[in-house]
Amino acid sequence: MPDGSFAHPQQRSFNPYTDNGGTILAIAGADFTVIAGDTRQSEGYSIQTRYAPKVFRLTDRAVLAVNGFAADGNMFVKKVKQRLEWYRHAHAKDMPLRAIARLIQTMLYAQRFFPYYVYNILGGIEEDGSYEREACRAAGAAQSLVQPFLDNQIYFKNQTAAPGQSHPSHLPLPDVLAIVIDSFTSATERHIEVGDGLEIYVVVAKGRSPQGLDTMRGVQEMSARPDGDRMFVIRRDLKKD
Amino acid sequence: MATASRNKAQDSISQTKFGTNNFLSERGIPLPKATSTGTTIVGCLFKDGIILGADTRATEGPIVADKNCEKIHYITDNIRCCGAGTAADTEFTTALISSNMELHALSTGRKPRVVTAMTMLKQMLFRYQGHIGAALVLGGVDSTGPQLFTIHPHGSTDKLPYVTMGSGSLAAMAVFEAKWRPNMERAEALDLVCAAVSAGIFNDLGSGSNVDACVITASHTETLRNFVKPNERVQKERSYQFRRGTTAIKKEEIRSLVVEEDITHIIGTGTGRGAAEGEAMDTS
Amino acid sequence: MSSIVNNIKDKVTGKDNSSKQNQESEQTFTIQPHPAQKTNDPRDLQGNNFAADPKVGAFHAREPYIPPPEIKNNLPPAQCTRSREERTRALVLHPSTVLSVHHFPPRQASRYLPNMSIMEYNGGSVIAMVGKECVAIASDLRLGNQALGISSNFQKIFPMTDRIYLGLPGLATDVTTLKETFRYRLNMYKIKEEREIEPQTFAHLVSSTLYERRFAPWFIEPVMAGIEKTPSGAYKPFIAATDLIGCINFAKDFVVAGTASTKLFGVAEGLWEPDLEPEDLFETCAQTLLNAVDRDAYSGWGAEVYLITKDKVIKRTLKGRMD
Repeated sequence: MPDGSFAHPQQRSFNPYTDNGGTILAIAGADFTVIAGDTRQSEGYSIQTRYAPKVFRLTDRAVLAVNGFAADGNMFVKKVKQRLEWYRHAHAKDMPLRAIARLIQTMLYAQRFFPYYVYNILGGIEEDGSYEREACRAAGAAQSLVQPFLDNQIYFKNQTAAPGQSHPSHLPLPDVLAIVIDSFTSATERHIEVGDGLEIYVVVAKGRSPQGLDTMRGVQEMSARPDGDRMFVIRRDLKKD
Repeated sequence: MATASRNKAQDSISQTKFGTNNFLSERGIPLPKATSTGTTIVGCLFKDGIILGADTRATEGPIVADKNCEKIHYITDNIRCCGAGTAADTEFTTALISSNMELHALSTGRKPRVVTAMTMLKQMLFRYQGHIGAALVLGGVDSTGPQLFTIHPHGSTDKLPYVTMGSGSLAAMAVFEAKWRPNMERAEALDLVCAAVSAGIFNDLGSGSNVDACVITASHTETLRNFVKPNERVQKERSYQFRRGTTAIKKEEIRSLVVEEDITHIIGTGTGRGAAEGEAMDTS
Repeated sequence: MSSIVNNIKDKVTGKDNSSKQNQESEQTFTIQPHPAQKTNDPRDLQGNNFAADPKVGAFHAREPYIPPPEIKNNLPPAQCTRSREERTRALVLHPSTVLSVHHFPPRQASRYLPNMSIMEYNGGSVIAMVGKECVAIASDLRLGNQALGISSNFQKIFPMTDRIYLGLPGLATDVTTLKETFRYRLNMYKIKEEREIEPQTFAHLVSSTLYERRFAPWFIEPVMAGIEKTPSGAYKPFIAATDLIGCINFAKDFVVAGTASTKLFGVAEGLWEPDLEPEDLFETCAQTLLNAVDRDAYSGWGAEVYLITKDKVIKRTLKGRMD
């Protein structure tokens, strides 16, 4: 209309979310947990940064991976860490893994009508040794590329065992690490939002052998005490195109 | 959402004028996506001619469909064309214009010129009103000297000493703006083209893998396929070969093929009717 | 202005505040030179720079272009008729030639289709992989009507010649139509050429058949696998895939298509390795397909693999999840 009025009602919308790409995955072994994520943060066809960690150490034995909308992810991790700090002050100990899982669930649901646009994977060791609700899980941009590969290699889906033999229910750590690294290099090949760097957190249960992990290339130990659960981080390069 | 080149792919098959698709999209049915080359393509002038460059990634949304595709297309011996946008469109428009250029060269009896190809391309793309989603960098050397053009999907053209197109065009142009100079030496210009394409490969998610280049001078055209390969996959951590018999089978059918055919010569062996027939056929 | 007022105020109060005065004096700006030593003066753009050079200036076509005498007088002479005829004879009509892009009348899809993609209407996926002197091509066997399964015996891979197999995932009606279209076109090729088509040529035939319908496409993403006979007589594996409008992807390792394509890409990228022997290639290809379709709601319900070597073709029906 020339007078500036509109013939029809106009609708305006504001989208507060964006997708920052990337992928995370976690695999639980018999006495260890591996949680990994790539470090690329992107929007559309642009890379915002080549190093934005998606995996965070929460306690000596709990690691949280967040993926989706990076701003929400960072805020969420910050708030979880704050709640864990409060817990430490109140109870003079770290929150147990199963309580952290429940805390995250309630914190996410508290935002039911303005949700955090974040997919979370929590991994770690329970107080009574290893704890798992699932043995493997991938999330994020390349979830659909990685998950069926893990089904095949971790759960041995569609594989018939050799006569008189059966598939192991848990893989040793070196095998799991190989599968994690190959999952990420594969995802980097075929998904444009995955790449730049890889961060793998490994939590090994108290008193269990790190199975040669401490001598691996690019590994850094983050354990709080040598006699407790041990935590390691492995950093690798991924392709940058 | 995505880049210009991606959107063109969607637009181009969703128009009223052509077929089923408007009917479907009106009902909110998303159209299937064609392979598009979220691309970095470049070209620049140097002392002896033209250098064209391209990356080699083809995408379908966020998935890499082809890690090593060819985006520098043949037009004539002395003209090449880089394509961005809907991959099939760049492939077929350049093939069609290449064919028409050959016929044109035959009817005129002269070496084809770059402006001719440029005019054919822009007239065709304009006729299709942007529905053919091809964004091109056309370069070559002809009797009027080195020529370099960009052609947009709607048929507009530019003639500039250094050009870039595709989703990585800004990254590549940044390199050209900083480093291009008139009358560069061949090696220097080739390095610059590689740097420009690499800027796209590493900073634009739609572009990736290798650098293809093509150097065209008055006397010679040199195709440098996979000139730089900065993105080869590293060795895998382990082999994933399966034990034979891992996959359960319900049924098996085998079809044997003929591998070798023995040809028995019957001419000149002088035995029976065959020879006679053979000779009879020979003379007919 | 305020500084003057302040000055007066300071004078009145008798305060000496020269340092404060300096701070409060108005900030001034200068035009900084461009880092690339280009000036900001628009007049400098008019001459003595590179855009002004007519050789490199933008193509504005203000007047007819008359080449300078050194070009005009040095033009190569036109070719003689004989050499032109020779060149014409050397050019053969290749199957990749699309003679024209037709505008077909729209194909009426059902009015009652809810919000969904045509490519996912019937579901189905295909993968092809290269091995050592062999290729494998595999597909699922599901035919669906969106989420509802209709058949668990819907073939998507068809033999084109003895050594070329074609997989057609996509809209089922087009699978059936295109299968017949290609049978017809291959028969015509065989009659004209008096020989079997080579895989490379067949890929171009598929491509141009699809591009012919550029603006009302077949909703099919073909995948092909075959064994090529090289001029030296050796056999070489060949795979290719195209998108729904015929852009060919000649891959060296594997190609995928269909509703489970992202899953197939992920698994194949992890499992595939070069130079697998036929039986190993079968395992890798079958495992890739089975695990990918198990994570796809629109693919599955049985699977089959064709393993093509130079002397035989083995077809195996796989045992997999049927849910």
